[in-house]
Amino acid sequence: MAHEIAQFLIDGQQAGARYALAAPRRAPQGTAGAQLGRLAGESMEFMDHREYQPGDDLRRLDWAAYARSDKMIVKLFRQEVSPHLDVVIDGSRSMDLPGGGKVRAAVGLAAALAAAAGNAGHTHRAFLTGRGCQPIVGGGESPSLWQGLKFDSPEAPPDSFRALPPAWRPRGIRVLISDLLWLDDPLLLLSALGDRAAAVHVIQVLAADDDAPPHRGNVRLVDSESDEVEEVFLDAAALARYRAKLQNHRENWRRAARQAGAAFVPLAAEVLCGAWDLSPLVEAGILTL
Amino acid sequence: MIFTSPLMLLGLAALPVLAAVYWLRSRSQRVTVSSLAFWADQRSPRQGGRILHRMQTPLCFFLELLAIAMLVVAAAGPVLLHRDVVRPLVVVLDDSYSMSACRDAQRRDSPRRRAAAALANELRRNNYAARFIAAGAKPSLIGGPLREPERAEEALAHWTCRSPSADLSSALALAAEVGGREARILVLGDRAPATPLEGGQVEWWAFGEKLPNAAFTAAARSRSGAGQRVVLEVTNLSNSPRSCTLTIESGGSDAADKKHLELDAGAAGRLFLNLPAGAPSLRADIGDDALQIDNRVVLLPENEKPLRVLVDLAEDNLRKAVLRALEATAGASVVSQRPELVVCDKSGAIEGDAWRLEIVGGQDSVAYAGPFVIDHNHELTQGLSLQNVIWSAPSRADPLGLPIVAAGNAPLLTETTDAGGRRRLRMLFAADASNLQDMPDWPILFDNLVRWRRAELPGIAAPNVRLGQTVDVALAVAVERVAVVAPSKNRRSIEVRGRCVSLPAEQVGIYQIETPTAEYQFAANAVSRDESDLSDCRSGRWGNWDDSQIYQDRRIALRWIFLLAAMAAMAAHLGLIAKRAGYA
Repeated sequence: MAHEIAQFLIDGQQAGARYALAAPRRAPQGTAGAQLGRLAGESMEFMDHREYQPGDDLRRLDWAAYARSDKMIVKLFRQEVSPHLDVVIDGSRSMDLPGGGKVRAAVGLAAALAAAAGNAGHTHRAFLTGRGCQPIVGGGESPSLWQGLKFDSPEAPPDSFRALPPAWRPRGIRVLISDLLWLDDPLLLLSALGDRAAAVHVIQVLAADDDAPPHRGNVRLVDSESDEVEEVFLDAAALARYRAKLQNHRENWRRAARQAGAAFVPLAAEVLCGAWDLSPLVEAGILTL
Repeated sequence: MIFTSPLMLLGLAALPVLAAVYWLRSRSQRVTVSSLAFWADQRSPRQGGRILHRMQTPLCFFLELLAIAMLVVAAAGPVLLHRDVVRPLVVVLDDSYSMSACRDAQRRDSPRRRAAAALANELRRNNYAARFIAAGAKPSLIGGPLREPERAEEALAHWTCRSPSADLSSALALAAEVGGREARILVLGDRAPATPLEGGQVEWWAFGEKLPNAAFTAAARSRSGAGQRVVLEVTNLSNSPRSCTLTIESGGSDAADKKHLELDAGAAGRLFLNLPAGAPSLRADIGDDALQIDNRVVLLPENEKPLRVLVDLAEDNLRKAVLRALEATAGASVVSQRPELVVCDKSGAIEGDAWRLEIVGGQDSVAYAGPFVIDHNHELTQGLSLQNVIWSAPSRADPLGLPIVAAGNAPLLTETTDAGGRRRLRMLFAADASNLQDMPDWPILFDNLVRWRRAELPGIAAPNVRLGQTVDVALAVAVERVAVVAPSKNRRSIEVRGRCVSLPAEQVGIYQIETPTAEYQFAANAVSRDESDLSDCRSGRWGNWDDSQIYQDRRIALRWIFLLAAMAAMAAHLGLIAKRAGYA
């Protein structure tokens, strides 16, 4: 498996070599940074004025402009971005189902993002969820040097975040790569991801079997993480209900991501690994060519 | 409830096949998924439980099982017997001694035991009024009708299996007569029926087993000159050669003489022994095998005393002819005093216990060349043909008593018996005009006479008999009853009629008849090759009472009930399927 993962990393790194990590387009959350973002932020470099809106920091009011125009005007400063990428890979068992391509897609995607970050002049660091969010050995180096990636954790990422949050760098760009197949409130994890982050990207990687299970008839389902068993009879109606639930879950994540100012990109693992076409990430503003 | 076509019940094998189909069809496939969260509200298997590999048993399955079972039972033809009807049953029991053959040394697996167990089981299963017929050399009824199955063994105590043969045909005829047209007849034996059973009234159950056996097939002791001669024949009744050690013990002697016989398959070996006069009883044994009863014989000494005959004939030629005939019989001695038989040519009073043969001749005789009327049931005429015989008889002589031989309406030989049982025979015979004295019939006639007279002497004429043979004992004095001690030491008292006792030899060994003045002995031996030959013994059942129309009327056919049940199950199944299809 280690050999295969090394190959996945190389594949992803090669795919990401053509891209660069895009600067965040959303409002920054930090107060200081070494690199200026494209958007208004909290740096000391003035960018523009605009009218006060409820929620704006009162310290940013330009009292002089108020005196002149009798309007409440706030100063806008350049966004302050830390040139760093934190990638969190879901290390739970559900990522490594027999016959599925989620591991390959997740690992390759993380490697691609790390390579793209390097192209953009960012540093990077990779984490793997398990018993807490543990930094990957060599996760700050070239992806081909990453070690110890194992997808055998019975815990879903929310539990890992609660047990040990990642030691990530403030105002950095944070990416979560997971299948997102748990039922916790997405906002809880997104708020943890977005805490003092310059940008948050959530990439959902699903296998084809997750999206459209091929099974029919009497099936004994075993949960890959909890080992719980459920015997069900699968017919077209049952599969339609499953897909509806999954779609609803995905929409919940999409809505929560929008609410949290994060980007949400669902990807099919097998499609991604087929040609390593990262255009969906470009379209989402995560990567640039 | 019984089935008229029980083989149809093999169709019940379809039930496990159906269960296997359901099991294979409904067992679950194990699939690992990322999360059960999105499957939680799915329907549970509509044809299964929640445990893997447990057979899925929906209602359809039970309905199909029920339909198949009902169809199979209906095909088997179930009928209900009237339990309250007592069915007459006549059981014919093969009483021959081959029924006691055993393979094991403990002698617990004889056909008789197996047959008794099967019969007891049959009596328990059905409501019979059973009667029993022991089929020996002559069939005989055993006890009265029996309705309590638990008393079957008690009734079968008389089934001793000691007969040297089994006349099953006569027993079946007796059974049909005793039971009537509606009685079931059951034959318990150790051989297959000789002819196919027809009509369905008779069931034939055989419990025999083909076993190797060696047996005495002949044992005789006779006078020979001054001594006695013994002939023993041992037959190897098996398919392979074997050696037999013949142990011979003479009464009173401690040392046993052993003879070895090497016998091929099916071959017989004979042994001839010459015993001195006065030799006691002789016992011979060949050791135990499948059948014990034919492995030993006892031979008592033959009566060596010749018949005392007084010949008082004036005509010389006739006298010589009579003496020659008496000499030829080898059982008579001519005496002048205390005769037991007097052959004379004149009428006179009988003296003592002597019988008289009066040969009455004359000058005016009539010659008869036949045909002669002969009473063939008489002891004097055994083997007598009178072919080419010219018998001259005086025309004026008076016949006396019942005719034994006659020519037309002219009696030639007559017999009378007086109150003391003494017999007077009158023979109208003119020797000078006859050729009877020169023909073979002449010594035959005198031999019969001597044998007859010897048999009527006090004592037993033939002390060694075959098992089953009837023995006549002439008593010296008239008594009402005598005591008989069987070889099993069982003593019983039997009635005497006319100074003669007749009793069958039912056991092998030495019988003893005790009277106040004398004791008599005879020995019975099982020397029947046919009965000792176990090569054609076999097991099986033949005939079926269910085939008989006689017993069909007493049944209630249940087939239609099972057919209705099967149809109901199929209709319910169809309805269930239709309902599910509409639901889907």
